[in-house]
Amino acid sequence: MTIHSYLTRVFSISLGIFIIVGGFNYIINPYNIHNTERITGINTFKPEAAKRIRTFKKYQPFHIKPNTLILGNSRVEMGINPKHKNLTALGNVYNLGIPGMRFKDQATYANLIIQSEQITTLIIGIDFSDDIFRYDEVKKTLNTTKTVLWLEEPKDKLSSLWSLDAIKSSISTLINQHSQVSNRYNNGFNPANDYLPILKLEGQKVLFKQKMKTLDQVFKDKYWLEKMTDVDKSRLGSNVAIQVKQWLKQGIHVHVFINPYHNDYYQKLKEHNLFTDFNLWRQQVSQKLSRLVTFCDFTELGKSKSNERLNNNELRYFWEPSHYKKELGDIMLPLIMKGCNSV
Amino acid sequence: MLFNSFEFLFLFLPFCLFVFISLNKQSKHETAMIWLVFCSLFFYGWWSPAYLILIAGSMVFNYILGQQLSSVRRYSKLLLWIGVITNLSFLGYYKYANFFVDQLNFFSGTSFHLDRILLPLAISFFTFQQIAFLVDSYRHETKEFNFLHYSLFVTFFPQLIAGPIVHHKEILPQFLQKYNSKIELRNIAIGLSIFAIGFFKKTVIADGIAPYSNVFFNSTLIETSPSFFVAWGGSLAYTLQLYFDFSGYSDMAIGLARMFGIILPLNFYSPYKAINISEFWRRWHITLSNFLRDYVYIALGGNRNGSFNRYRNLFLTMFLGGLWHGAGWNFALWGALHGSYLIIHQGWGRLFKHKVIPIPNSIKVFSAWLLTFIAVVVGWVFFRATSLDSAVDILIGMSGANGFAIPNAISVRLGIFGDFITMLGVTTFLGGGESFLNNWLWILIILPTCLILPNTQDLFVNNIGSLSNNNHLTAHTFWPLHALCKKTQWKLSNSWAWLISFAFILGILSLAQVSEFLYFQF
Repeated sequence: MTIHSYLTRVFSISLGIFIIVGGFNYIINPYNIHNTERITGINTFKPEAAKRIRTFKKYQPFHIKPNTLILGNSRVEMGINPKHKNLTALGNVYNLGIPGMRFKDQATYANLIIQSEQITTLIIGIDFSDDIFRYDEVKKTLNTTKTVLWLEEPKDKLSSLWSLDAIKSSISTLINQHSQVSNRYNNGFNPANDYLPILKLEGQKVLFKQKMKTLDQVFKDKYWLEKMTDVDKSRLGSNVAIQVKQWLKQGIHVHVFINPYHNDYYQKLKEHNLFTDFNLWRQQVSQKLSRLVTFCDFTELGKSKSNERLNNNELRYFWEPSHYKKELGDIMLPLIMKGCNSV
Repeated sequence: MLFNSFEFLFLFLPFCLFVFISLNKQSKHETAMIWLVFCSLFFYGWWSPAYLILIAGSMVFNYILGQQLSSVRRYSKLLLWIGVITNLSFLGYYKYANFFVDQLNFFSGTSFHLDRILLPLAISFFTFQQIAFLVDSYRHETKEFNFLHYSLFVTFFPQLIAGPIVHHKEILPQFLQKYNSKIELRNIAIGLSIFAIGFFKKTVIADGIAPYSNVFFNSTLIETSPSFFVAWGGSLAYTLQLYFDFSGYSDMAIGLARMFGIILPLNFYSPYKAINISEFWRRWHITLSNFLRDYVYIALGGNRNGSFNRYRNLFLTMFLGGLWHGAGWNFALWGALHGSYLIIHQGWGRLFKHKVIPIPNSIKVFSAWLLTFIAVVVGWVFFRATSLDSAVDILIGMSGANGFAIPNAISVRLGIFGDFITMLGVTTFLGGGESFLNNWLWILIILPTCLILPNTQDLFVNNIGSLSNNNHLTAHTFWPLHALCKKTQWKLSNSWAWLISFAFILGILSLAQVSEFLYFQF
């Protein structure tokens, strides 16, 4: 072989591999960023999508043209089923729940979709910790994040086709096509399959133990609470209320609810002397939002459903202390839509 | 600018190479060198243009002094001292001033304040290269070179940032060679192939295993007492990361230089195959080891004046070599540890020189390798750990004193074997199962790769990959399955075109996640 033909071959093979890799990642679509079909045995399950939720939920909603958005964090993502019968009248429903995401960022994501889709209804699940931050910080972040999100699109889409991570994720997707892997549906819902092997092999006690350990660390920090002044505390729920008012002005129906937790979670709040703050927050949020929209506080529901068990002794309504199952969400949804002053 | 960045690979390098070749084809050799100096300074200034003044000033100062030293005999020793002290003062100020003030405050209770000084990139490398030039000028071992050639020797971008540390005797004559257009394509083919292998080593292997070592060493800041498997998993991850990161960088530098027709010295030669610590240092960061030997160890007296002085010089050289890596007690300790290793190894060799231990050679070789490798990993713990306490905690974990534990998720999947190891005292912990598994999978794949496969030098020796003649060396080496790959050589063939293309494209695909080279910090 001559040097010239060696170099030509290296460049042509490289180009060929580059094109094949892009095509392969586009078809497998491991992060669900592109609007490609799910093929049985190939990419029905998207185990890797869980690692890029913040990325894919920026783009996926545009593929299904939603009329209704469900906002919240991981609790909402795996608890509120967009296919629930009470939601069928609301057109295409997309679950925009994103793990670990605070309300300010959820609102930014939602506003991006509202700008270009016909959104008529918003269902919003809120959390104590999500709301505990300074109002002025919220306002600032909302404006800057919006611009950043649009600028990120080419980078996100190209890296989902041409990156090592994308290849690894596509291969992992091909290998892991079974019902006990993490998955996200096209409507954004998380069926919480990740929990299934842990429940089967290690048991629910292990999940509880691990989660309680994590909660200990989170509550021990309390940095978000200690930062707050009395004025800030009096403003609890204001940021949600201000954003909700804006959506109402745009003619969007809004339903807000406070997520339920397992009793052990509330116990943990008490252990860390946070329960008073939690109740103060509930009270403030309820006052501000129940005047504007249909509002539900599911704290008591969570407590009352904490210990119901299935035949195999697994909890009926909770995966672990801070995440409820779809079955509890199914009970909550009719109430959310009707509105409830006290549950 | 990083070698593993879009701007370097698709803009800087092609443009720089194209103009360089075009100028040479028009027989404008000197202009081509000016172009290369300009490109190298642009490459350096990409990070912080302000430091261009520093490197330019350093070059002018050392060049003038070098000229004086090689031509003037009177006061030449004084001039040399002025040169060395000036160079070391700059290095000391930028690299060690903050550390010195911190230590002074700590030990004497004072509260002197010095703003954080930003370390200029590559200062350790170009300072050492120029000190060597001054010493050799003093010894009248340098030839007449003009400032342009000297500037290119110092700034040549493939080796500027993190080596290999080049010696003027090796490089300057190459810049003076007449350009040969016939070998230009061959150089590009060889250079590109070596670069692709280095690119793959850095971006796929080193960056692939990096998250496990980073998480481990950062978490030990907060959570102490890692158990046996966790401690070894993190330490081995760093051991492999550092090797593939730095040797990958060196391969990339050698490949890039070759595209411009320059052959650089070898910097790594499968150090983890070494069966004793002296051999390890003949294979790890070879150009630094050579510098320390020639300009520190020998300057201190070398192996003259008896055993005690020899061991003292060895220890001091390694201690200073440790400090060269950075201003911190961890680097000093690492250097001192390796100095002690070398003393023990040499002392052992003397004591048992004529004693035959009646065990099979294969067991002897394996045991020697294992001992050397463990010693090296222990050294890396000090090198990487962010504090002495943290390093000690990790070493206690590696000794097994914190117990043996695996993630619960893995234990339950092991079935009967899980029960068996529980009986042996292996406990479980919650969380981290996937990370633990991936960490060990990387180690179990990459460590044998290090030991079994030939290195870049072995593959390219027939094509003069570097200035070394090392070729499938097996002396003082643990090299399992050596027979399988002893004839493996890169050549112009379809299979190599495929392999190089894969390595290159996988490297390109990693550009989405930019990471710096570990040795940039030194």
